[in-house]
Amino acid sequence: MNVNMQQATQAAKKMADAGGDSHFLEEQMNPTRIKQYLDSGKDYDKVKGMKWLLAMMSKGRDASEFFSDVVKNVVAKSVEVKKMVYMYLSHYCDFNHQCRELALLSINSFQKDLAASNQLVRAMALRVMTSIRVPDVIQIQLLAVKKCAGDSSPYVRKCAANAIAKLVSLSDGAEQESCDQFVATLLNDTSPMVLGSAVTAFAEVCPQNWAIFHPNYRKLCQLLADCDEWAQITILGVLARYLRTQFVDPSPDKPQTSSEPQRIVRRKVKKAFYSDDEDESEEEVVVQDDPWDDDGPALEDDHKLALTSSLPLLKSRNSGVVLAVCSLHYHCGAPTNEERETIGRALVRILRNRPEIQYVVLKSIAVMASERPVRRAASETTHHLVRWRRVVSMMRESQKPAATQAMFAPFLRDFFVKGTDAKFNREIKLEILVRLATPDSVEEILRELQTYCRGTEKDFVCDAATAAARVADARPECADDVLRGLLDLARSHDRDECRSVDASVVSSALVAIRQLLQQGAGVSAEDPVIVRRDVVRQVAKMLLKPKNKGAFSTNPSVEEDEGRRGGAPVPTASGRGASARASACFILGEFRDDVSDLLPDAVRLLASRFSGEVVEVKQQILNLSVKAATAYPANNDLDSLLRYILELARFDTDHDLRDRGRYLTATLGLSVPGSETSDEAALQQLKANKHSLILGEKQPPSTRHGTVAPEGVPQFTVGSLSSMMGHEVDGYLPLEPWATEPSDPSIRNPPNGSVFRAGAGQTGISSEEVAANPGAFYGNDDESSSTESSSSGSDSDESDSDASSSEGSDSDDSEESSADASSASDSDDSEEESSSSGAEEAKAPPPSDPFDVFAAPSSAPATSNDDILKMF
Amino acid sequence: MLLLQTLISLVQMINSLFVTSATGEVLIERHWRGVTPRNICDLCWDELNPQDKRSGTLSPLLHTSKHYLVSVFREDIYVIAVLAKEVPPLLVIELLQRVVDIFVEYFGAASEGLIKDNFASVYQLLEEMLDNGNPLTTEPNALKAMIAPPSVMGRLQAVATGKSNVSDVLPDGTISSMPWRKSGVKYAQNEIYLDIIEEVDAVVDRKGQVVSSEVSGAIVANSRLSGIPDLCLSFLDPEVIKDCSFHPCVRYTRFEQDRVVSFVPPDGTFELMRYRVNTKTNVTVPIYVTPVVTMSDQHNAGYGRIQIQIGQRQTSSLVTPNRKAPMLIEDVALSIPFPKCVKTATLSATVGTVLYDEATKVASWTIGRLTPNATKVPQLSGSMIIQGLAEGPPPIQVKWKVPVASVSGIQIAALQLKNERYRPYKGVRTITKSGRFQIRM
Repeated sequence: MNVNMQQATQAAKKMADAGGDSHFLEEQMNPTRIKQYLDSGKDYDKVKGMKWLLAMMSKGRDASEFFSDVVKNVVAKSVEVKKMVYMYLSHYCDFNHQCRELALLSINSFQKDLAASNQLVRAMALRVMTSIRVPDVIQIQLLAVKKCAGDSSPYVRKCAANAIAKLVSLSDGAEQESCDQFVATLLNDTSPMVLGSAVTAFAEVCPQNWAIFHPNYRKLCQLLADCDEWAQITILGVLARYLRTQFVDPSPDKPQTSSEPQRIVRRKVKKAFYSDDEDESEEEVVVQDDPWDDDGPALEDDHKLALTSSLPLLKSRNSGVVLAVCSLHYHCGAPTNEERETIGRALVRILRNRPEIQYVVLKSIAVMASERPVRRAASETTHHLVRWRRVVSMMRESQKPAATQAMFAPFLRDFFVKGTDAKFNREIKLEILVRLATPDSVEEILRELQTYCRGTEKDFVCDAATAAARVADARPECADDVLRGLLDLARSHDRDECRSVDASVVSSALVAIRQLLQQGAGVSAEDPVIVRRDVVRQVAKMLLKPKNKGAFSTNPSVEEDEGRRGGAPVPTASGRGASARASACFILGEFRDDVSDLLPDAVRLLASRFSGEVVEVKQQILNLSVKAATAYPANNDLDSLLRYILELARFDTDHDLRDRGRYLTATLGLSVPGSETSDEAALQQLKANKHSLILGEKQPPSTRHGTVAPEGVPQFTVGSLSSMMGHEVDGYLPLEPWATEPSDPSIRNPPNGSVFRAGAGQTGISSEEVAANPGAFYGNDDESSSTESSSSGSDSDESDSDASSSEGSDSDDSEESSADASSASDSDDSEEESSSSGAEEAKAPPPSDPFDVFAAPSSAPATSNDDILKMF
Repeated sequence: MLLLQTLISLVQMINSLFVTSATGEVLIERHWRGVTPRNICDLCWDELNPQDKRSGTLSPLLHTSKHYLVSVFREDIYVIAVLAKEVPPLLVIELLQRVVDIFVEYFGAASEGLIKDNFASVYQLLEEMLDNGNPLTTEPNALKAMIAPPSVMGRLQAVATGKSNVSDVLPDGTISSMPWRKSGVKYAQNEIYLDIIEEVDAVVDRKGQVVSSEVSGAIVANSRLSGIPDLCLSFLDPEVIKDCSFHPCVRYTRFEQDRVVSFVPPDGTFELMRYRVNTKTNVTVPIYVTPVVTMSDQHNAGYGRIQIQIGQRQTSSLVTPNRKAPMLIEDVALSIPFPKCVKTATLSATVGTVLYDEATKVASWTIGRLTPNATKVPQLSGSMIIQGLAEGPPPIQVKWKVPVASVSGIQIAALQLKNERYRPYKGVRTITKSGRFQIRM
């Protein structure tokens, strides 16, 4: 009976297990119970124990107390247990001193696994072993990487490449040389799988060591399409830096230094599965349909090779690859117009993607769509408005639509903002639209911006209004229309009966109007001031006759009323719409001639509101009254109003305003004479010059940032994290300026005349080969290495690495540092050498424990297990 | 030593990866280069508006003084990568998206509950997908060979027998030249299905004018073929496809030269290619929606009326192989968001069902199939009570689907199989449906 009950509960428990693992996260478990599970002989229980620990890690708890119980399980037969143990170990092995000590005990078993016949076990062991961040074992780790770098399986070699960076950071650069050597070895590999990781390691470990990169450059270009998508991104990044250091600037305005075309005789390259060189003949490079042959500048063959072989990758499904190709061509190519459109089209294609990807792509397009840096043309000392306008328009005329601008012009509509666009993408789309404004497109862009201004989301409406003003700045011919549109926008949002009264929109619109007026909008040739006059008068009307609850209204009672009802905190007296009022005051002061008849009234009304205003507006009222009184000295009303406002300012609560009031009083010669400290002569001089001082022309604001790159602002590689962030991210490698002399192409020849061959077993195959030999490329590596067909690539590699490992310290200097460890392994190696030659070794399972320093005999794994157990 | 350290510049990949729920609870953490404290994720929650954490408005790139956070929001979860050094941001984002893709492939979706239910598998997947923060094995075929997808049957079996769902037979896929295809695939019945799916993104104004439109197509394949099939897909009019992207299994050069898609497919479902349909002018959509909204807000308390009609257009840019057969519009559904000022709304429809969610202020109107020449025109009408200042209503989202039709008119000429002896069953299906399709009001 009792037994039955137990069975039943157990069965119920098991059923609960089948439901999912979430109970591990939700329930608490007794530590002794977990230890029992881990000590259990059954794999099922061990898995359970490990799941408890993983769950603890997930919940952010410290599970390091179980370290000793887990370490014992590294010898587990079950792959699942092993994997979980490895995950646990790599998380906790550097957790504290005790864990580090205990982690060393597991090294033994990793070494055993490194000799396993299954490539995945070997790879896994290497990965975990090199994750142990304990400096004491660095020599063992180095040897493990070295061994795996010569492994017969590309998967293991790939993991070895990934491990190199770990070693460099572990050893604080002390093992740099040997790590460089490993990178060089792996770069010599022929398997695209390995090459990708090898280049990643190159970029991490020795990104400037071009000496080891040169001989592999052409191979990398040819195998680019065969590498996996992640590797392609890294390789393209490295290629961009390489091209800059090795070749001269291909852009047409810079004549090339070497006029003689260089012929490079290349050896026959066996075509790889997806490489684009399909028609390669022997002894010559024939690149057909060469886009640069017709009208583009002459590029060196090797330079061209990277560009042509990367272009097909625009068809990748991975947006990162597409962007990397575009970046390469943008920084290092001289694309023809046709290619530019291809690149632009590819970028626009990847835009239709998830919002996060869209964000990065849009930001990159915004960078590319901006014109090339143009220095400020004139060093004018007098900034007379008209002259300034002429200079600016001259600059605009002379600038043909920039090439990169043309790249995206055909896809203008793709940058229109859609309702479903994420907030963070809308701003960038507006930015791009501004930059794409050309005479042909400006009308369409403005129409679109107008639609956005009708929207309901006020932040976006504000952004759209600002964008419209910037478009008008770039294309002055449409400035008048924009001006009127903005005025309408401001008026409609200021009106009480409008569906959405919004002060922030009015503020943005008025700020934009002010900028446009300053930039000289509204002054068309045939009818000089009619538009401007109209606009300024309308602004004056809005300012002086504020609508109830409108943006220009300063009635605090309404504000308070609204604030209370909405439950929101009561806004500061009239902070809402402050910048709209400030901008309006400024406009009146600057364009006083257009409203000269209204000025006395305007200043009077503003003076009466002065005390209730916010500081921002008070300052502008003060400025306006000073400008008005200076411009019309004959008007007594203005003069007395000015004195009144100056008096108010002197007793204001804001110290800045008080100071400004005093300063202006002195400038205008209104201060009380006769105080001892004052310098009468200087004050008189000020008074004499007050006209030019106060009413002088101002340089109009430039809202076209991004188009005129100020010098000293760094420009980052398109698509890099730094360019997204706008500052240099740690580890960013800038593209260097082009080399002045191209490097000798012979340095890129493969070493000692060896021919790069794609081994049938590792690289891609053409469809014919599939038909001929279907089994070959799926063959398990360990078997296939014994067959003839697959051997070419890996065999030579292996014999190479074997040679270096058996020759030990005398082969290269890097071995010196690891001499102690390799001396331990020397005996093993020599034994093996005597029994089997290097080339044959691949057939035999890899040597079991060539560098076991933990005293466990390599031939007896059982004893090593016992050893570990005894230590506890 | 110090000097050396400053000289070498370590471009590190991903330092740490967190999977969190939409509310910010850390579900999974994995570190490759030292442990990053999990409270770094708090930065994201500080950035987010506490009210709409789910709306996915988090900027994908954030930074602290030391770290950079790259985040991806999908389904119900955030995946956040922590970087310390320069890494191409798109590489990271694509990788994070791939991680979520794999979760969906394995668990059916990527919700908080499913991640918790399968957390051990998630750790195993991350272990295989990233090595030292670098991408390692990301192809579903190769992963599935290493870690079996969980299933209820599998779990029951595991409980009963004590066997795990981790394969002890290690895959060959990872070492073949085709990491995307697993080896030893064998089917009694060999078949391959191709779905040509074209999506119409459009913005339509309230008068029915298409403001902007974009059509993108995808060919999704479901391959159930034995051995190593080498397929070659050709089109009747390949010129239609000007701008496309391919699954890594496709040979780019063959397409450049002969305009055929030559590939060895992965096993199972995958997206073979994606293309943009070149439309000279805006497309004519097969459906019309006419919304009429009136609102009045005298003294801040008013009411409004809404009326929406929907129907099939006689002419559209869609083409069907058989021009005589009538075009059927299926799965029609509208999502109508109301502005914040709307307090309540009472809605009714002549056809289909309409549900109004008070909390989100979104009405969803499900119509189903539009029957041509029906006596009843689908129409939604109702009234709403407005409080506060009236605002313009946001755009309406419309979903629809038209089988057998396409915008591009693309047609498959042949799908040839080389390298295998069997004759597979081949099926092709074409669908045009709405993508981001909205009506401005």
